[in-house]
Amino acid sequence: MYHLIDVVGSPTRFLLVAGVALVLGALLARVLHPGLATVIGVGLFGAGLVWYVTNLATNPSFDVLLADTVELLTGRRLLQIANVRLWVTSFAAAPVFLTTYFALRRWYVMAVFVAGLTLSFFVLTTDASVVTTLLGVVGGVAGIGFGTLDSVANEGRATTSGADPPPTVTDADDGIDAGRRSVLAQLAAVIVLPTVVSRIPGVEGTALSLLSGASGTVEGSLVDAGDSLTVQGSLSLSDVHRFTIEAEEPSYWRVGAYDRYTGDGWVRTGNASEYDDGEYLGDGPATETRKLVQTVEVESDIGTVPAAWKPVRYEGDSDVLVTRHDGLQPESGLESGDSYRVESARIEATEEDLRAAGDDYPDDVTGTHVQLPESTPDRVAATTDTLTENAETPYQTALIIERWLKRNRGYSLDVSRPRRNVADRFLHAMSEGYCTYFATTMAVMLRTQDIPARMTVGYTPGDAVGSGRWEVRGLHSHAWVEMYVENWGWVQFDPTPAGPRQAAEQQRLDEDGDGGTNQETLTETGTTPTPTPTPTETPEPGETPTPTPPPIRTRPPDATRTDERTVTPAGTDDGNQLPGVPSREEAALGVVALLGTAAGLRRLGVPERVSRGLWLRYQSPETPAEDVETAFQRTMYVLAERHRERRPGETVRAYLDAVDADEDVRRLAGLRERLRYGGSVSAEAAEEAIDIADTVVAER
Amino acid sequence: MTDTTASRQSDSALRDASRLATGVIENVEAVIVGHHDAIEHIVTALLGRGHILLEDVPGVGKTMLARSVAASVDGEFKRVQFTPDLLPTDVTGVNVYNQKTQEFEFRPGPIFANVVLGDEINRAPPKTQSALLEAMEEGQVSADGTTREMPQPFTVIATQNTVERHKAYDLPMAELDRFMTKLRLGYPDADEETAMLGEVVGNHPIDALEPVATLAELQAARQAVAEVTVEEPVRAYATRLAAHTREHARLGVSPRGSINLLRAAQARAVLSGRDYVIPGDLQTEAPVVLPHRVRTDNSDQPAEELVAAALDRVAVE
Repeated sequence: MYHLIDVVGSPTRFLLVAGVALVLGALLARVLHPGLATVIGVGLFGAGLVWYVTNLATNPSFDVLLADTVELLTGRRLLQIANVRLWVTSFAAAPVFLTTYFALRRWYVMAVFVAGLTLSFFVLTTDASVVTTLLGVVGGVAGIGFGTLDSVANEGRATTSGADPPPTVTDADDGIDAGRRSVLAQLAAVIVLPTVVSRIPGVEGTALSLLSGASGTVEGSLVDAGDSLTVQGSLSLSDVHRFTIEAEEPSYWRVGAYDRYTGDGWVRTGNASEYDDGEYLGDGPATETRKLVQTVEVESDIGTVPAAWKPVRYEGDSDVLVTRHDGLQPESGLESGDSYRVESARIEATEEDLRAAGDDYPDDVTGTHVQLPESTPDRVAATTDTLTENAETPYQTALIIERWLKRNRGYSLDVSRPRRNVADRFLHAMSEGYCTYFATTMAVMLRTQDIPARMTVGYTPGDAVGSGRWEVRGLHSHAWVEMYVENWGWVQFDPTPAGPRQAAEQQRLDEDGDGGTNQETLTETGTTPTPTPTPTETPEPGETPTPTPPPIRTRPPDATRTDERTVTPAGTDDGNQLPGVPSREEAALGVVALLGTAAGLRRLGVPERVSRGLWLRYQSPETPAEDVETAFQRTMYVLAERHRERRPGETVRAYLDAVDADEDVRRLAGLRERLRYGGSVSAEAAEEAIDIADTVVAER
Repeated sequence: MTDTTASRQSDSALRDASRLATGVIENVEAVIVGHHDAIEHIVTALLGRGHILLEDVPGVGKTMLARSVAASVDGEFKRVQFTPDLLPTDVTGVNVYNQKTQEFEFRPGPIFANVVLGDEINRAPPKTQSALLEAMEEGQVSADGTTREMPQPFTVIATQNTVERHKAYDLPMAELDRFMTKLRLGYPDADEETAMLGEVVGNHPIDALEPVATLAELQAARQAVAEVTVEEPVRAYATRLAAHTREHARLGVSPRGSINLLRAAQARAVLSGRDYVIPGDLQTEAPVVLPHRVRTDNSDQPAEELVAAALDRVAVE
């Protein structure tokens, strides 16, 4: 469960600490008194705490720490802590030590208790995914179950180790084997039952369900995602009217940014701070800016404050917070009818300025913005290297990546979510996706070049209604990338092909047939050059210094690996639709589920029942002797079902008398008696026996 | 089931044996009112080459039953009344000096007969009892260093009194083991007793009893019984029964007990007109063949109960 550390990279130190704790626990398990060990464990925890606090860059007061802890326990993700690496390294030692110690001392319940405590912490912070939690719980149950059996077995051996007869031992072993099987079956039930329950139609989507909803809307997955965002599978577009914005020029209405990439999603680190109406936020590093004033009327409830980048002043009906990334965030949601005014400082940089910018980034920018999960495959960096080898500055790199993605990946809302690293899959296996995939991939690619980049979500300008007025709907939600340019700050890039996306949006509107006005306006927007809301995305002709991306319609020479997939944006029959290889946790759970199901079935006697049913119904002639015996056993089975089983000490005759069997059965019993005890049977008798048995079974 | 242990015998021999058994039973029942099961058991023992021990309180017809069985067979019948002062030679016979021939000659005791009724066998001292028991088991008698064969067929029907225990020498287990069956008669039903009283107030019917079988017929019947098939499942069942008693009692059924059980079962099969033994035969005979060979752990638990439990629990296959 600790491998979440992987997200923040370079887990060496963490592994070292955990390893030392593990070895320590293992060594001390033999010699140390439990009480003392608990003290040491608590001591380790305390030491980790002190170390964490003293190593924090900022020096928070005690109550802030306390508040943070409470927030963590009420669902805040651990990855939102700015310095996750430090946190995990500080706190890993104690649980690892205690768990190892107790497990080796055969105090399985205590060991599982400690591990479970840790796990529940992760569950509360929502860092543990369903699968991880399930695996943890299954592991815990297995630990207790098998552990207890192990103890019992040991005690059994200890008590019978003397001059006791071997039968006792084998009996005990048999019992333990049965116990193991039953534990296994229970584990399978733990895994399988919730899954099955989730599949029941009425349950899906309720709290009982383990399966996340099959498809949501783009808006739901992006804009309403809150502090963390998971890349989804297939999505649809919603046409709910969100807000109307009045501004001098269109822009991407930005809602928020995410800085920590987890492989399958994004997390926003850091706390939001309070903001007083009208307070002026800094312009950022850019020296030349242009003021853009937007007035927004909220048309339906939203939990965000859309505004053009970079907001510097806010006045409105509800209070807002400022995120660590200078974004605005309402304290509570905005209601329909609310309105606000945002002043944004837009960067007034020329193409040359941006192109010339170097790679000298401030420390607070590089921190989480260039970090990638340790599990990110090297080929992401390799592919990006190849693509951008001719770029001289970070800005050129970004332009190349942006254009490459636009040209080589199709737009589709109907994709199956990759199981692992989204960026890697989108870059190397998938042929199409939607804005989240484009933006994620571009951000990750930039980061492989050590360029600070982050994932940004919000809305596209929307439908123009009159001059300086735009209607923004749910279907305009979008994701793009912000890259930090030296001396200028965060600059926006949109790697998603604009044409197909707008087509999709329009199609969505057409489907509803919302009325002529909408369609008309949409057509207008479709033709307006909205894909370049910020000066960063200047038209392509001016791209002479980057010769690598060749003219349109020729494939990039270096992207050999993706060549075949570059052409068809509409094709869905590519390799990307294959289900991905399951993760290790899922595989482990699957194996346990399989084994357990097998054990459970065996416990329930399903195989026996099936073979019995077959045996009962179909008798193929063998030798007369076998025929008679089988026919007899079939009949007895039916009689046992109908009346009662023959008691062990009861002779067949007594039994038949007791159940008042009919003549045929008695005749069959007589044949069998003669065969079994008299040693003779004829072929005719065998046939007769089978006939009788068939009749009896048929009457069943 | 291809291996047959006993050779197939002709149907006629089996029928004859069956008819003989039925004849004897009917004959005895002319005299003895009730006790049908006991009579059958006695006949099966007779055909199964076994000896019978009747145990009960005085006056329930033990001796009468034995006498009527003996009278049904046309053989030599002797009766020995065991008393505390009875000597072994009184049973087996003695060498006496013949003045005329100037030689010792053997004067056979009452045991030299086809059917011997040993009345109140537990009244005699162990030495005398053992003289009888050697004859029963070995089919021979040793006197003064000479061993003499017993006549064939040879069956001992002994009775034993269960009252006045202090005046009796209880048979040791080793000797009890030599009786194939040990029966308790018990008191007759009220109806049966009434009927019996009606019969015996005049001339006792036993005086009119005629033999229904010759010695040769009895021998042939015994031979037929001995050839009745005992298949492996039945033998295994007998073994399991014996094993069960050995596991649950201080002294379980001996191999001799198992042999006797199978022999009795063979006779029982003939009685039912079958030429093979079924487990049911064993179950019928076990309650009289096995208990006297078992000594339970707990004196409160009768051996009969243990045998009944064994029959209940040991699986019939």
